[in-house]
Amino acid sequence: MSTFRGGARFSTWLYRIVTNAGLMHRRARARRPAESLDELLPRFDADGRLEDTPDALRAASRVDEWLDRQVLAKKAQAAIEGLPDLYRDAFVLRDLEELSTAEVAQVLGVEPATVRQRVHRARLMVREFLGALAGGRA
Amino acid sequence: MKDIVCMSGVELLMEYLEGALATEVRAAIEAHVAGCPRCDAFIASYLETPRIVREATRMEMPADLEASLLAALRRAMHRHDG
Repeated sequence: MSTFRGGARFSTWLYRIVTNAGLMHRRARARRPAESLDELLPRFDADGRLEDTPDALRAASRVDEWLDRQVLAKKAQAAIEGLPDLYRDAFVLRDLEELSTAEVAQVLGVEPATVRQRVHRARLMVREFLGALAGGRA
Repeated sequence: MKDIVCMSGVELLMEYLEGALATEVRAAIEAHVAGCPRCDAFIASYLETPRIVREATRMEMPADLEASLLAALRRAMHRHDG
C-alpha cells in the first residue's frame, strides 16, 4: 500500500498495480539476442567519450513532445516488454511503481546495489530506445 | 582515483543519484559533468526517462470495468459485514 496516495482514486491505483504486474510477468516472446541489446546502450569512442552530439543525446527527453501519446504508449510498452526479465522487474517496481530502492530490494530479495545496477541498465536501454524513437529509428 | 570520463561517469550515474558514492568520486563526477555538454545532455534524458515511460503507460481504468469492480467490492464488504 506504500504507493497509494490519498489523492488518487482507489480504482485507478488498483488498475495501475494490476497493469504493471502484467508488465512484470509478461515474459518476452521473442527474446532479443545479446548483440541487439548492446544496440540499446550508449556508445563511446576509444577515449570513453559519448559519441553522440548533445542534441542527439537530449532527444530522448523530448520524445513525449514530438510523438502522439498513443503511439508513444505502445512503443514504451514494447520497450519495457523487450527488456531482459531481471531488468524489467526492477524497472517496473522502481520507475513505474515508484517504490524506493530499499523496497524493491525487499520485494525481489536482492541487495539494494543489485537493484541500482538492474534499474540503471534498464534505464540506459529504455533511454536509448526513446532516443531512437525521437530520431525515427525505432 | 582515476579521472572520470563519460563512460565511467555513465556507469556510476545511478549510484551517484542515490547517494551511494564516496565524496571524492561524487566530486570527480561533478567536475567532469560541469565541463561536458554531452554528459549534461545525457543526464537530462536519463532523468526524464522514468517519467516519460510512466506517463505514457499510465492507463485509465475503463468505466465499465471500474463500475463492476466497485460493485464486486461492495458485495464482498456487505457479505463480510453481514
